[in-house]
Amino acid sequence: MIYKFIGHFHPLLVHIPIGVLLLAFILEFFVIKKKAVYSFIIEITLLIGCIAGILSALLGWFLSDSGEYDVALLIRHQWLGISLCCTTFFLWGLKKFARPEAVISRAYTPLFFVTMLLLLLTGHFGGSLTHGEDYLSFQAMEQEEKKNAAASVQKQIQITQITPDLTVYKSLVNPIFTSKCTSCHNEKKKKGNFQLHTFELLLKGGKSGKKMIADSVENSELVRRMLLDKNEEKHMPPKGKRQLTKAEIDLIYWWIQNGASPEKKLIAVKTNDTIKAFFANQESVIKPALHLQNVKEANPADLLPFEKIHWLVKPVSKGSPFLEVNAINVPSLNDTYTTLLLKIAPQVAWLQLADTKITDAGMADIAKCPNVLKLNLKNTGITNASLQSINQLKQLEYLNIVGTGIDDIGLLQLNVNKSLKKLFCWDSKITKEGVARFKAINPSVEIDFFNQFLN
Amino acid sequence: MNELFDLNYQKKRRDFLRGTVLGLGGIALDSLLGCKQGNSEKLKGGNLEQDINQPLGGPHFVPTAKRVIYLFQNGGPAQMELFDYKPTLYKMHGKEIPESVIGQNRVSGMVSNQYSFPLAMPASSFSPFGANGTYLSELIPHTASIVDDLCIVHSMVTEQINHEPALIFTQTGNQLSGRPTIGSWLSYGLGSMNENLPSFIVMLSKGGDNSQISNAAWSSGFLPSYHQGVQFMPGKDPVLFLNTPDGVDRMDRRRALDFIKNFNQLQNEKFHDPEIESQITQAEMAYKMQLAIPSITDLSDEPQYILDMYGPDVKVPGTFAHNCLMARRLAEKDVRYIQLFHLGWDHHGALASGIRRATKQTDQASAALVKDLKQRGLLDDTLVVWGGEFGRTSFSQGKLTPDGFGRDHHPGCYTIWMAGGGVKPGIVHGLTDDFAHNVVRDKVHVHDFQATLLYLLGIDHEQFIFKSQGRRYRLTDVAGNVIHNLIA
Repeated sequence: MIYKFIGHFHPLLVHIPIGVLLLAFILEFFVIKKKAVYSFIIEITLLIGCIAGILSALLGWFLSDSGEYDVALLIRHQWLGISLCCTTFFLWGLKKFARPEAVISRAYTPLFFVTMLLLLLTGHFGGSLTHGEDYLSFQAMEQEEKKNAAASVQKQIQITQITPDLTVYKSLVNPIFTSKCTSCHNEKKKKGNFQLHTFELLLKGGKSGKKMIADSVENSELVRRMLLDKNEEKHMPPKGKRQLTKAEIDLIYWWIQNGASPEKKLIAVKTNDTIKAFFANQESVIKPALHLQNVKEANPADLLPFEKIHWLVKPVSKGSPFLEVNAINVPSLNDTYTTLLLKIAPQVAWLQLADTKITDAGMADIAKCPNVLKLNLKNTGITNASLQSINQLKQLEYLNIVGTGIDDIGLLQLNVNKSLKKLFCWDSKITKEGVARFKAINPSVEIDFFNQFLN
Repeated sequence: MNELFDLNYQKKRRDFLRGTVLGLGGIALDSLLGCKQGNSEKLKGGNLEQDINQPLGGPHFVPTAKRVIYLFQNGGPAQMELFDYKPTLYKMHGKEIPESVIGQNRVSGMVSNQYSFPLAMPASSFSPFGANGTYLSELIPHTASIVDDLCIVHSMVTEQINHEPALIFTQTGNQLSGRPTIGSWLSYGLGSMNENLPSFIVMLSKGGDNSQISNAAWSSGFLPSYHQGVQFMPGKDPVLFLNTPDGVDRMDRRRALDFIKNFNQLQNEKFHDPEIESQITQAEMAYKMQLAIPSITDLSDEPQYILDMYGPDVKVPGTFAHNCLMARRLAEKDVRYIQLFHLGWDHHGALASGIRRATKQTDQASAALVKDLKQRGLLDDTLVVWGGEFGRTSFSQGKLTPDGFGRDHHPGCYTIWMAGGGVKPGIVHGLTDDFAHNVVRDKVHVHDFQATLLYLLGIDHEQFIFKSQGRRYRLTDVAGNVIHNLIA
């Protein structure tokens, strides 16, 4: 166990011989002046390179035991590495012991170049083992990207395009694997000794045995890994990679639960709820948002005065620049404070001033907040004079003037552009007739006015 | 004393470090080998995994509801007597419930030894109401008058067949008590708007029946304890032990609180126990509530016609009607979650008279609450939920007599309604079979209901997680889908 773990240090240690031997090479052939001074350094460097190389090879041997690698590539890397150790050892021997005039010294320079070549090849194959053979290929990278794009296009086949020859595996399940799994589990790079680019290999499983048991999602490691919490180490795809969507997980789950057969025809199950949900692509349900032109976030410094007087200011949702301004904790709020709103005027979307001491004078400042969607003035001191200010709010959807001094004349002054949807005017000076007249002009506005309780 | 304690504390720590055979090296190796620190999240003030278990601070996306009033009808209102009109039941009165309908469904121990399951005709008549001609019972005329504002769900399904587990399941997402309730989750996740009132208030109404519910129904579970529901009691003292004792001045109380707070903070710096913070927060909240509560409970500013809306019971503290009016007053003060419990729907026998009593106590006030919220513009962002923990069987429990018959618990389908807060008004969702026994279409599981409720408040139920004792918890546990058909 422990030697296996030490083996993991192989990719770390190999950088020492690479660096050190390169240094020796540079010192030997690219430094022209004071050759004699460097001679000893080159000798020592070669020795260090040789020792580090042998150690690396040893660790590499341990690492190869895990069996996660392509064998052909591994063998090549292994023998190249061993040869490299040998040539380095000979180089050091020549440098230290051979007299310059001896015949054998003539082999020094060619041997050095051979060593460098070996170093290059060993390093390259080592890299291929760790990162995959395609890692350094521009073409392969391009192909990979095309394949991913194709996979996502393939996923988008419509439910109406199903032909009798399509199978669930080929047309739905495999494309999911191709787009989200096979970048690590493919023919060249089999992490955990598991490959799932073909059905046979998917069935075969990996290092820890079978990954998929047909009819039994409970015992299928594949499903367990997908459903694990994102932060768990064993979760697949790993954190940071493109994750499976809920619809994709549901589909794979359903497919395994129902036999995991490569032959299952898509057309036979197209009325199934899971398949329908997959096609309906339910994860793309748009989350509610405000229909406003985006603005930049308010300056936090402008929010401090609100905090000081307990005037609640919060984003309407996480990360939204728009603010909900709520005076529930400041019933004493009066017109002297409304100027605070001017600093955050573009951001104010919901303004709740119910039961405060705001009057018509304060409304002038509120009129300068162009993005107010909801305005609650319930039980404030506003009168008909405020209508002019309210009319300036072009985005207003919700207006609450319950319990205010606004009357029928004021209501008729309310210049309703298309935005207003809901008006609440109960307990104000507005009468039933006033509401009826307003409704005749503005049929699209929903008015709540429980007048029957007044009589 | 304190210094001695400090010395002792530090000595222990040093011994521990020295005693660790491998010393710091061992600890370093530990992290190299990828061993995870298990209990670190418990030390809230510690430097490890601090980002876990932080309240949301705000909704994930734009909410349509800011508050919830949940009118919980404990006992299990009979769906076929109130909402789910099934002419077949009248036609087949007295006949055995078909085997194909009852199937392998679980029945409670109370009827499992019954040899005959005769269908019982509903003890009420139905007629159409509202713009869509929705059939509703004569027993709920007031609810019928607001049917165009209601989103009625006929296809609710639960997993529990007994009261307490079913209630706890609805409130916490798990049948066993000990997990946080909906109100606690919301208080924890979204925080309070009104700083002088708790964000989760509970009221039990009297006059139903003698059954009991445990306070696990408003527990905060593993969440910090200041998120648990604060119970309002009927009578002079709505919140127990809140008033300052005779002879103690409010300034004295303030000084005492400040002094205790200092001590608590000293302790908190040392131990970082979240419960110390809870203690500080709760004491402060109680102090603020001393001023805020009387203005909530004093109904003298309510005009007579508003009181009349809620019905004659409204002036009797502790009745459902009174609690409904209180709920509206609390909603006006931006209390996040108001939970009412009405007991008295458990009609195992004498259903005909029992359900008449229960509807008389609840129907008018429930409808009045919706109307009252609506005229004030509050229904727009307040979600009102009306419903129990399960439904009742379409067959009779015990002998089928006109007055004496009863119905047993039935988790397979039941009806709830919602109003406001962004739900679709004037719709009926889901379909049950001709016997109101099984769901035929658009099943809404309790977890789906919870997921939808959170969605209306702007919360993605799958992202709203609290880690406790090494396990991540959600209100919807590992299930639940938002029912988008219920949302406007």
